[in-house]
Amino acid sequence: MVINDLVSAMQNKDHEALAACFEEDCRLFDYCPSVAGRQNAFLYGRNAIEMSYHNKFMFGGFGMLDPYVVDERTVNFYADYNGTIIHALAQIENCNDGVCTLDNSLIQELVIRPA
Amino acid sequence: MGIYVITGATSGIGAKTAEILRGRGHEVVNIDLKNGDIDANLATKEGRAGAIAELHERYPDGIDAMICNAGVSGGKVPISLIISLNYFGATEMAHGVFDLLEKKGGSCVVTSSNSIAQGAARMDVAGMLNNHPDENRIIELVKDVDPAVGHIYYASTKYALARWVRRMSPDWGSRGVRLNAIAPGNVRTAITANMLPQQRAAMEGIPVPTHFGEEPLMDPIEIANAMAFVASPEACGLNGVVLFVDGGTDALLNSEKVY
Repeated sequence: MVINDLVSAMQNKDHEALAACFEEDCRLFDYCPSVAGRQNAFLYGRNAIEMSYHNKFMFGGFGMLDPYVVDERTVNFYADYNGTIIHALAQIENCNDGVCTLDNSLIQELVIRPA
Repeated sequence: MGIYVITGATSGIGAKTAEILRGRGHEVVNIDLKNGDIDANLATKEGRAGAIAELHERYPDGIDAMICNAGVSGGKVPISLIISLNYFGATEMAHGVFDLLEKKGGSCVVTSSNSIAQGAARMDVAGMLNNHPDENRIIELVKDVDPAVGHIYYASTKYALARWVRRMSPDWGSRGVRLNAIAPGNVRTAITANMLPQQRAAMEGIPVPTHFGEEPLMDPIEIANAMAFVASPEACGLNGVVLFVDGGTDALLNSEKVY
Protein backbone atom coordinates (compact mmCIF):
# COMPACT_ATOMS: atom_id res chain seq x y z
CA MET A 1 0.00 0.00 0.00
CA VAL A 2 1.09 3.52 -0.71
CA ILE A 3 0.96 4.39 2.99
CA ASN A 4 3.69 1.83 3.66
CA ASP A 5 5.78 3.28 0.84
CA LEU A 6 5.26 6.71 2.35
CA VAL A 7 6.44 5.58 5.76
CA SER A 8 9.42 3.77 4.30
CA ALA A 9 10.48 6.83 2.31
CA MET A 10 10.11 9.08 5.34
CA GLN A 11 12.13 6.77 7.55
CA ASN A 12 14.86 6.37 4.93
CA LYS A 13 14.90 10.14 4.34
CA ASP A 14 14.53 9.39 0.64
CA HIS A 15 13.00 12.43 -1.04
CA GLU A 16 12.72 10.75 -4.44
CA ALA A 17 10.91 7.71 -3.04
CA LEU A 18 8.64 10.01 -1.09
CA ALA A 19 7.73 12.01 -4.19
CA ALA A 20 7.04 8.75 -6.04
CA CYS A 21 4.13 8.12 -3.65
CA PHE A 22 2.29 11.13 -5.07
CA GLU A 23 0.45 11.92 -8.26
CA GLU A 24 1.99 14.69 -10.33
CA ASP A 25 -0.78 17.15 -9.41
CA CYS A 26 -1.11 16.73 -5.68
CA ARG A 27 -0.72 18.56 -2.41
CA LEU A 28 0.86 18.01 0.97
CA PHE A 29 -0.06 20.21 3.92
CA ASP A 30 1.84 19.93 7.20
CA TYR A 31 0.40 21.85 10.15
CA CYS A 32 2.93 20.60 12.72
CA PRO A 33 5.89 22.95 12.11
CA SER A 34 4.11 25.92 13.67
CA VAL A 35 4.07 23.97 16.94
CA ALA A 36 7.86 23.94 16.68
CA GLY A 37 8.02 27.64 15.82
CA ARG A 38 8.47 27.07 12.12
CA GLN A 39 6.42 27.77 9.02
CA ASN A 40 3.75 25.24 8.18
CA ALA A 41 4.21 23.60 4.79
CA PHE A 42 1.80 23.92 1.90
CA LEU A 43 3.28 22.06 -1.02
CA TYR A 44 1.62 21.78 -4.39
CA GLY A 45 2.88 19.24 -6.93
CA ARG A 46 5.12 16.17 -6.82
CA ASN A 47 8.26 18.07 -7.81
CA ALA A 48 7.77 20.59 -5.02
CA ILE A 49 7.38 17.77 -2.52
CA GLU A 50 10.57 16.16 -3.78
CA MET A 51 12.55 19.39 -3.59
CA SER A 52 11.15 20.48 -0.26
CA TYR A 53 11.82 17.17 1.44
CA HIS A 54 15.28 17.00 -0.11
CA ASN A 55 15.94 20.18 1.84
CA LYS A 56 14.07 19.06 4.98
CA PHE A 57 15.90 15.74 5.16
CA MET A 58 19.30 17.33 4.56
CA PHE A 59 19.09 20.59 6.49
CA GLY A 60 15.79 20.70 8.34
CA GLY A 61 16.49 17.74 10.59
CA PHE A 62 13.10 16.26 9.72
CA GLY A 63 12.37 12.65 10.59
CA MET A 64 9.47 10.26 11.10
CA LEU A 65 9.89 8.40 14.37
CA ASP A 66 8.06 5.31 15.64
CA PRO A 67 5.40 5.19 12.92
CA TYR A 68 2.25 3.14 13.45
CA VAL A 69 0.15 2.54 10.36
CA VAL A 70 -3.44 2.78 11.58
CA ASP A 71 -5.08 1.96 8.26
CA GLU A 72 -4.56 2.44 4.52
CA ARG A 73 -4.92 6.19 4.91
CA THR A 74 -3.49 7.02 8.32
CA VAL A 75 -0.14 6.83 10.06
CA ASN A 76 0.43 7.85 13.67
CA PHE A 77 4.01 8.93 14.38
CA TYR A 78 6.35 11.29 16.14
CA ALA A 79 7.48 14.06 13.83
CA ASP A 80 11.01 15.19 14.56
CA TYR A 81 11.64 18.78 13.57
CA ASN A 82 15.34 19.01 14.28
CA GLY A 83 14.96 17.81 17.84
CA THR A 84 11.50 19.13 18.59
CA ILE A 85 9.20 16.10 18.72
CA ILE A 86 5.52 16.49 17.85
CA HIS A 87 3.01 13.67 18.05
CA ALA A 88 1.40 13.69 14.61
CA LEU A 89 -1.11 12.04 12.32
CA ALA A 90 -0.51 11.85 8.59
CA GLN A 91 -3.81 11.39 6.79
CA ILE A 92 -4.21 10.57 3.12
CA GLU A 93 -7.28 12.55 2.15
CA ASN A 94 -7.42 11.42 -1.47
CA CYS A 95 -5.77 8.93 -3.79
CA ASN A 96 -6.00 8.68 -7.57
CA ASP A 97 -8.00 5.46 -7.29
CA GLY A 98 -10.20 6.47 -4.40
CA VAL A 99 -9.23 3.55 -2.19
CA CYS A 100 -5.46 3.90 -1.57
CA THR A 101 -5.03 0.14 -1.34
CA LEU A 102 -3.89 -0.81 -4.85
CA ASP A 103 -0.29 -1.48 -5.78
CA ASN A 104 -0.23 1.58 -7.99
CA SER A 105 -2.24 3.92 -5.78
CA LEU A 106 -0.86 7.44 -5.71
CA ILE A 107 -1.59 10.13 -3.17
CA GLN A 108 -3.46 13.22 -4.30
CA GLU A 109 -3.67 14.91 -0.93
CA LEU A 110 -1.83 14.29 2.32
CA VAL A 111 -2.39 16.30 5.49
CA ILE A 112 -0.15 16.07 8.54
CA ARG A 113 -1.61 17.44 11.77
CA PRO A 114 -0.68 17.43 15.44
CA ALA A 115 -2.26 14.33 16.99
CA MET B 1 24.39 56.13 -22.70
CA GLY B 2 25.00 55.77 -19.00
CA ILE B 3 27.96 55.34 -16.71
CA TYR B 4 27.65 52.15 -14.68
CA VAL B 5 30.13 51.38 -11.91
CA ILE B 6 30.29 47.82 -10.69
CA THR B 7 32.48 46.20 -8.08
CA GLY B 8 33.78 42.66 -8.45
CA ALA B 9 33.17 42.50 -12.18
CA THR B 10 36.32 40.65 -13.18
CA SER B 11 34.49 37.32 -12.99
CA GLY B 12 31.16 35.66 -12.20
CA ILE B 13 27.91 37.58 -11.86
CA GLY B 14 29.70 40.92 -11.99
CA ALA B 15 31.50 40.10 -15.25
CA LYS B 16 28.26 38.96 -16.88
CA THR B 17 26.46 42.09 -15.73
CA ALA B 18 29.24 44.27 -17.11
CA GLU B 19 29.07 42.38 -20.40
CA ILE B 20 25.33 42.98 -20.67
CA LEU B 21 25.68 46.67 -19.87
CA ARG B 22 28.54 47.18 -22.32
CA GLY B 23 26.48 45.38 -24.94
CA ARG B 24 23.80 48.01 -24.44
CA GLY B 25 26.31 50.73 -25.12
CA HIS B 26 26.97 51.90 -21.57
CA GLU B 27 30.34 52.85 -20.15
CA VAL B 28 31.17 50.32 -17.44
CA VAL B 29 33.77 50.79 -14.74
CA ASN B 30 34.90 47.63 -13.00
CA ILE B 31 36.38 48.09 -9.54
CA ASP B 32 38.11 44.91 -8.44
CA LEU B 33 41.10 43.68 -6.52
CA LYS B 34 42.94 43.08 -9.77
CA ASN B 35 42.30 43.31 -13.50
CA GLY B 36 39.72 46.04 -12.96
CA ASP B 37 39.39 49.43 -14.58
CA ILE B 38 40.16 50.64 -11.08
CA ASP B 39 42.13 48.22 -8.93
CA ALA B 40 41.24 48.54 -5.25
CA ASN B 41 40.98 46.35 -2.19
CA LEU B 42 37.44 47.11 -1.06
CA ALA B 43 37.97 45.14 2.13
CA THR B 44 40.05 48.05 3.43
CA LYS B 45 39.10 51.61 4.27
CA GLU B 46 42.03 52.89 2.23
CA GLY B 47 41.04 50.87 -0.80
CA ARG B 48 37.47 52.10 -0.65
CA ALA B 49 38.55 55.71 -0.16
CA GLY B 50 40.91 55.49 -3.12
CA ALA B 51 38.25 54.06 -5.40
CA ILE B 52 35.70 56.66 -4.34
CA ALA B 53 38.20 59.46 -4.94
CA GLU B 54 39.05 58.06 -8.37
CA LEU B 55 35.37 57.95 -9.34
CA HIS B 56 34.90 61.57 -8.29
CA GLU B 57 37.89 62.59 -10.33
CA ARG B 58 36.77 60.70 -13.43
CA TYR B 59 33.07 61.49 -13.27
CA PRO B 60 32.51 64.85 -11.58
CA ASP B 61 29.14 65.19 -13.33
CA GLY B 62 27.84 62.01 -11.79
CA ILE B 63 27.21 58.35 -12.54
CA ASP B 64 24.05 56.49 -13.50
CA ALA B 65 24.43 53.41 -11.35
CA MET B 66 26.56 51.89 -8.65
CA ILE B 67 26.39 48.10 -8.45
CA CYS B 68 28.01 46.84 -5.25
CA ASN B 69 28.62 43.26 -6.19
CA ALA B 70 32.06 42.37 -4.78
CA GLY B 71 31.90 39.75 -2.08
CA VAL B 72 33.35 36.54 -0.79
CA SER B 73 31.74 33.34 0.44
CA GLY B 74 32.58 31.65 3.69
CA GLY B 75 34.53 28.52 4.47
CA LYS B 76 38.17 29.22 3.80
CA VAL B 77 38.72 32.95 4.14
CA PRO B 78 39.08 34.88 7.41
CA ILE B 79 35.80 36.04 8.96
CA SER B 80 37.16 39.57 8.98
CA LEU B 81 37.38 39.53 5.18
CA ILE B 82 33.75 38.41 4.89
CA ILE B 83 32.63 41.27 7.10
CA SER B 84 34.85 43.96 5.61
CA LEU B 85 34.24 43.12 1.96
CA ASN B 86 30.64 41.92 1.94
CA TYR B 87 29.16 44.55 4.21
CA PHE B 88 31.47 47.55 4.46
CA GLY B 89 32.76 47.07 0.91
CA ALA B 90 29.20 47.56 -0.30
CA THR B 91 27.69 50.10 2.08
CA GLU B 92 30.74 52.36 2.22
CA MET B 93 31.10 52.37 -1.54
CA ALA B 94 27.42 53.18 -1.96
CA HIS B 95 27.60 56.01 0.56
CA GLY B 96 30.81 57.26 -1.03
CA VAL B 97 29.26 57.77 -4.45
CA PHE B 98 25.82 58.88 -3.31
CA ASP B 99 26.50 62.44 -4.44
CA LEU B 100 27.49 61.20 -7.89
CA LEU B 101 24.30 59.15 -8.12
CA GLU B 102 22.23 62.09 -6.92
CA LYS B 103 23.57 64.28 -9.74
CA LYS B 104 22.14 61.96 -12.37
CA GLY B 105 19.16 60.50 -10.53
CA GLY B 106 20.87 57.16 -10.61
CA SER B 107 20.39 53.89 -8.83
CA CYS B 108 22.33 51.60 -6.54
CA VAL B 109 22.10 47.82 -6.49
CA VAL B 110 23.79 45.56 -3.95
CA THR B 111 24.31 41.81 -4.11
CA SER B 112 22.77 40.04 -1.16
CA SER B 113 21.96 36.30 -1.13
CA ASN B 114 18.92 34.08 -0.87
CA SER B 115 20.68 32.44 2.10
CA ILE B 116 19.33 35.34 4.17
CA ALA B 117 15.96 33.55 4.21
CA GLN B 118 17.30 30.17 5.25
CA GLY B 119 17.90 30.83 8.91
CA ALA B 120 21.69 30.66 8.85
CA ALA B 121 22.37 34.30 9.67
CA ARG B 122 23.36 35.33 13.19
CA MET B 123 21.06 38.17 14.09
CA ASP B 124 23.46 39.54 16.69
CA VAL B 125 26.11 39.97 14.01
CA ALA B 126 23.61 41.47 11.58
CA GLY B 127 22.46 43.78 14.35
CA MET B 128 25.97 45.02 15.04
CA LEU B 129 26.56 45.69 11.36
CA ASN B 130 23.32 47.62 10.92
CA ASN B 131 23.08 49.39 14.25
CA HIS B 132 26.68 50.01 15.32
CA PRO B 133 28.75 49.68 12.16
CA ASP B 134 32.15 50.21 13.73
CA GLU B 135 34.31 48.12 11.43
CA ASN B 136 37.38 48.04 13.64
CA ARG B 137 35.50 46.90 16.74
CA ILE B 138 33.55 44.22 14.89
CA ILE B 139 36.70 42.89 13.23
CA GLU B 140 38.41 42.76 16.62
CA LEU B 141 35.45 40.81 17.98
CA VAL B 142 35.63 38.09 15.31
CA LYS B 143 39.38 37.87 14.90
CA ASP B 144 39.62 34.43 16.54
CA VAL B 145 36.50 32.90 15.00
CA ASP B 146 37.16 29.70 13.04
CA PRO B 147 36.84 30.30 9.26
CA ALA B 148 35.01 26.96 9.07
CA VAL B 149 31.85 28.71 10.27
CA GLY B 150 32.25 31.38 7.62
CA HIS B 151 28.94 30.49 5.96
CA ILE B 152 27.15 31.81 9.05
CA TYR B 153 28.98 35.11 8.83
CA TYR B 154 28.41 35.19 5.08
CA ALA B 155 24.65 34.90 5.63
CA SER B 156 24.86 37.47 8.42
CA THR B 157 26.58 40.07 6.26
CA LYS B 158 24.17 39.46 3.40
CA TYR B 159 21.19 39.74 5.76
CA ALA B 160 22.54 43.00 7.15
CA LEU B 161 23.12 44.26 3.63
CA ALA B 162 19.52 43.56 2.63
CA ARG B 163 18.23 45.24 5.77
CA TRP B 164 20.49 48.22 5.14
CA VAL B 165 18.83 48.56 1.73
CA ARG B 166 15.38 48.44 3.30
CA ARG B 167 16.32 51.03 5.90
CA MET B 168 18.10 53.48 3.60
CA SER B 169 15.94 53.28 0.50
CA PRO B 170 13.09 55.58 1.63
CA ASP B 171 15.46 58.48 2.20
CA TRP B 172 17.60 57.78 -0.86
CA GLY B 173 14.52 57.35 -3.00
CA SER B 174 13.14 60.67 -1.82
CA ARG B 175 16.38 62.26 -3.01
CA GLY B 176 16.20 60.66 -6.43
CA VAL B 177 18.47 57.67 -5.92
CA ARG B 178 16.91 54.22 -5.98
CA LEU B 179 18.44 51.54 -3.78
CA ASN B 180 17.69 47.83 -4.20
CA ALA B 181 19.18 44.43 -3.52
CA ILE B 182 19.46 41.28 -5.58
CA ALA B 183 19.40 38.00 -3.66
CA PRO B 184 20.86 35.30 -5.91
CA GLY B 185 20.51 31.57 -5.42
CA ASN B 186 23.31 29.06 -5.82
CA VAL B 187 25.35 30.13 -8.82
CA ARG B 188 28.01 28.29 -10.80
CA THR B 189 31.43 29.79 -10.16
CA ALA B 190 35.07 28.77 -10.29
CA ILE B 191 34.73 27.69 -6.67
CA THR B 192 31.69 25.46 -7.25
CA ALA B 193 33.51 23.72 -10.10
CA ASN B 194 35.87 22.19 -7.55
CA MET B 195 33.38 21.23 -4.84
CA LEU B 196 33.89 18.08 -2.85
CA PRO B 197 31.13 15.43 -3.21
CA GLN B 198 29.70 16.24 0.22
CA GLN B 199 29.70 19.95 -0.59
CA ARG B 200 27.86 19.28 -3.83
CA ALA B 201 25.34 17.08 -2.02
CA ALA B 202 24.70 19.85 0.48
CA MET B 203 24.28 22.37 -2.31
CA GLU B 204 21.76 20.11 -4.03
CA GLY B 205 19.76 20.09 -0.79
CA ILE B 206 18.85 23.70 -1.58
CA PRO B 207 16.99 23.01 -4.82
CA VAL B 208 16.46 25.54 -7.58
CA PRO B 209 12.96 24.79 -8.94
CA THR B 210 13.62 26.16 -12.43
CA HIS B 211 16.56 23.76 -12.65
CA PHE B 212 14.61 20.72 -11.43
CA GLY B 213 16.14 17.54 -12.86
CA GLU B 214 18.91 19.53 -14.53
CA GLU B 215 22.16 21.25 -13.56
CA PRO B 216 21.40 22.37 -9.99
CA LEU B 217 23.46 25.55 -10.11
CA MET B 218 22.25 28.72 -11.74
CA ASP B 219 24.24 30.37 -14.51
CA PRO B 220 25.63 33.83 -13.67
CA ILE B 221 23.72 35.24 -16.66
CA GLU B 222 20.44 34.48 -14.88
CA ILE B 223 21.41 36.82 -12.08
CA ALA B 224 23.16 39.35 -14.27
CA ASN B 225 20.07 39.94 -16.42
CA ALA B 226 18.08 40.85 -13.31
CA MET B 227 20.88 43.00 -11.96
CA ALA B 228 21.19 44.96 -15.19
CA PHE B 229 17.45 45.51 -15.21
CA VAL B 230 17.19 46.66 -11.59
CA ALA B 231 20.06 49.09 -12.16
CA SER B 232 18.45 50.51 -15.29
CA PRO B 233 15.94 53.37 -15.66
CA GLU B 234 13.38 50.79 -16.80
CA ALA B 235 13.17 49.73 -13.14
CA CYS B 236 12.32 53.28 -12.03
CA GLY B 237 9.45 52.01 -9.88
CA LEU B 238 11.64 49.73 -7.80
CA ASN B 239 13.08 51.05 -4.57
CA GLY B 240 13.82 49.20 -1.33
CA VAL B 241 13.25 45.85 -2.98
CA VAL B 242 15.16 42.69 -2.07
CA LEU B 243 14.65 40.74 -5.27
CA PHE B 244 15.20 37.00 -4.97
CA VAL B 245 16.72 35.77 -8.22
CA ASP B 246 16.97 32.13 -7.27
CA GLY B 247 14.73 30.22 -9.63
CA GLY B 248 12.10 29.89 -6.91
CA THR B 249 14.18 28.45 -4.05
CA ASP B 250 12.90 31.02 -1.59
CA ALA B 251 9.30 30.37 -2.61
CA LEU B 252 9.88 26.66 -2.18
CA LEU B 253 11.38 26.96 1.30
CA ASN B 254 9.38 29.97 2.53
CA SER B 255 6.07 29.90 0.69
CA GLU B 256 4.25 31.51 3.62
CA LYS B 257 6.43 34.62 3.64
CA VAL B 258 4.27 36.62 1.29
CA TYR B 259 5.58 39.89 2.60
